[in-house]
Amino acid sequence: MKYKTRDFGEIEIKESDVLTFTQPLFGFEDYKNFALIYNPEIGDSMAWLQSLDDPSLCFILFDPTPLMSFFKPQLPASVEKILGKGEYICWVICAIPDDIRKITVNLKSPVFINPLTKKMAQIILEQDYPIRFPLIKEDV
Amino acid sequence: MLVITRKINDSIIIELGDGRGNIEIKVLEVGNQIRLGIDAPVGYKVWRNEIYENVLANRMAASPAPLNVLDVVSKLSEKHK
Repeated sequence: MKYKTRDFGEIEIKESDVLTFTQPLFGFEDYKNFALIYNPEIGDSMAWLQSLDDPSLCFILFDPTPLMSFFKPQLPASVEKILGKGEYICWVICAIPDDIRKITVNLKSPVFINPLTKKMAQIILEQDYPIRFPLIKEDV
Repeated sequence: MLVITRKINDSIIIELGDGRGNIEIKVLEVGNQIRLGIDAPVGYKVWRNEIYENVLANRMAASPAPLNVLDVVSKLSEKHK
């Protein structure tokens, strides 16, 4: 099915690629269905989480693998109820202000996706991670 | 910060003024945790503060990236090398 997107025009998204929030993004409780869109020039270190309900709603996600030396999210036991059994893919949400050097990611509340069930959830971790973690260190 | 002592089933009223009504916060249960009941006019959203922090972060993240995101990514990959 064709969907309008915020940053990529109209694109084809397979029904099997539709992801559904069983625990939605905080403040965006009405938006459940999304798709991940990759920009071929960037690869899979970032992804666009495009709402399929509202073309103007889109989030940019960052793969936190480069941060794994200190970022080790531990999921609450209740996660299986929300996402179903399986492995979960962790993304963090980017906030990109006008000054791009001040880009931050939300390490406190990542988005977890179960690729088997296509369910996803934003989960507040018990761990004490910052909501606004700067991805780029200030240059001296 | 205004600090008020209340007993169980007591409440406080926050008068919003300008005819916008009142918010009532009632103490329902006391113990290791406390339980609050909140009555607010339609249109007012009540959040747990730790969730509200994420709401603000998500709203900011939802505003369109003002730039070529490729620039960001090239900057990031420089930093992570």
